[in-house]
Amino acid sequence: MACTNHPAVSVGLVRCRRCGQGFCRNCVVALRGQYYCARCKSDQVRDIQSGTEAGVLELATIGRRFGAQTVDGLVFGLVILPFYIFLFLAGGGAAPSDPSVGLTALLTIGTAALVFVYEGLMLSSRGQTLGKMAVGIKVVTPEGQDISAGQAWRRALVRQVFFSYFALVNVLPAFFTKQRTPIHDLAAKTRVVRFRR
Amino acid sequence: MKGREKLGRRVAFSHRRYVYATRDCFEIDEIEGYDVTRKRVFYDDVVLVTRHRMVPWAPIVLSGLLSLVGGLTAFGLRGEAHGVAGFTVFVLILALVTLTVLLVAVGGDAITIQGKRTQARMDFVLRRGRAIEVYRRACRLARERQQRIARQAAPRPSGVRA
Amino acid sequence: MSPRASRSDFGGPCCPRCWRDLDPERVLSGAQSCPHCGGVFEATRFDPPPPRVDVRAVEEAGPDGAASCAAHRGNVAVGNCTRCGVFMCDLCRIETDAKVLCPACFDRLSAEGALPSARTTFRDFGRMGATLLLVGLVFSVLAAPFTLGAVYAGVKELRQRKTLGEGSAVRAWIVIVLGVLGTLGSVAFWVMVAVAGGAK
Repeated sequence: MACTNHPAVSVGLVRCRRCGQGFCRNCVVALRGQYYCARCKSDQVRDIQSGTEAGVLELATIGRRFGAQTVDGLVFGLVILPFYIFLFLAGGGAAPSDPSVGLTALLTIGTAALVFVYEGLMLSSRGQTLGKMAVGIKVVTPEGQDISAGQAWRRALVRQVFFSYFALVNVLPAFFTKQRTPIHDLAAKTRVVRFRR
Repeated sequence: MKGREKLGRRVAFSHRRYVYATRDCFEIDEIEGYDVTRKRVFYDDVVLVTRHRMVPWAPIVLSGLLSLVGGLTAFGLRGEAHGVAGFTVFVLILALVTLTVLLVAVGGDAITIQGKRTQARMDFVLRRGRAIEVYRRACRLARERQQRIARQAAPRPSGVRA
Repeated sequence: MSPRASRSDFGGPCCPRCWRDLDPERVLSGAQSCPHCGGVFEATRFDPPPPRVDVRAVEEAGPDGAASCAAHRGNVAVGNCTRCGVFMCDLCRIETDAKVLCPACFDRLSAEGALPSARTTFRDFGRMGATLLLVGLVFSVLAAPFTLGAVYAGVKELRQRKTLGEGSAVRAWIVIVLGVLGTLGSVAFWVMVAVAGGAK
């Protein structure tokens, strides 16, 4: 093999990241750790400036992620509602004026457990919950690959651990980090990206 | 200020996109909540600029529904509307109906600017003149830049060009 | 060929109506019709010139020689990096934002987010600040965390304006001033409550 521009040179060759051809050291330049030949380097710089750089994660915006949460909440509300109605009727049809602490805690923990299982199952099988599917986002690894089951369940667990007021604390880093990672994303090493079928 | 020229926009349900012309490129800003994502189509990357007529469904449906509601209400209250109030309501409904008719008759124009890597899209509803103006401006920006580069790449053999 | 989902699946010229790919050879200027959906559109076609990189070997430079590129010993240097001053051949040369940079400086500056032409994501801090102020208004005397957040957002907007030229300074200052007033107001309220409570 020889350099594409200098057929006489055949040592110290490097492959251009875009076109894959071999070049000598004088014909390649390094950008962000990758080597490019003359023509491909211009293309790569243009790609970066145009916002079409390959391999860069298109992170989902906060608004979209919030929308996914809302849809999931609605879906869950619709599913959980029959249970609450059932409990209400089973309790004799009279609204308990002073629901016992135990009952409230049971309901809260029960709902949280259900959400945990829902998220864990859906994320480990396809990286999306119903809400995420609706708005077009997906949970992936920082490299853009599908997440493992362990990551999915860890993410769901951490999210449920931060409940009510603490859920706001969980979400706070998402606004200030470049990679838009709330605490459950940091714990599971995941990212949420735009995903269109 | 940035000094870029606003060309057009395209509004969708969860985001809006604005297209600007700067010194070297068209910039497409997608605003979604509090995040702005920017793509660029450089003038020397432009491959195609298109314009076509389109039916602005959302404005038509909205304006049509409002006309319908207004018309039905007016019809329902036809015996009781008097004086200035009645006249104002009548004028409003007439305006809505006229708007709907205009939207259906004239429609809108869509312009796309396609580059090698990405594209810009803009909608102009009831503004055909502006659409044509933007179309020409986009073509001119691309053409002038690409011709300038072509001239620089192939210097005339006779020497320095004036 | 199925229609595209949306913008980021862009792979070349496409029909503006049905988004399907068009054969670049077949698209000309003037009235066109799409072979897939039959829709008509007016088009102007361009043939962008390919990028030219002019790298010359040092040996060809002549008897008086020429400076050679710092990264490529065999190439003639055609300029200096505006930021670090190193000699660069045309292969290394990157021209952006009224600057000429070497690849290392380009990498560093774009990673910091200091190159407006390489930035593709922004936060609309002005709008965030305005929303935080409204939320603070709703919470009235408990507004302090939100008004402080609004001030922070306003400051970030000013910084973004200075480094990148994005956003509006007027809006940023309005948000900052109102945020400070709101914070002072709500803090003053609680101070008065504490004083009145202590005086009892």
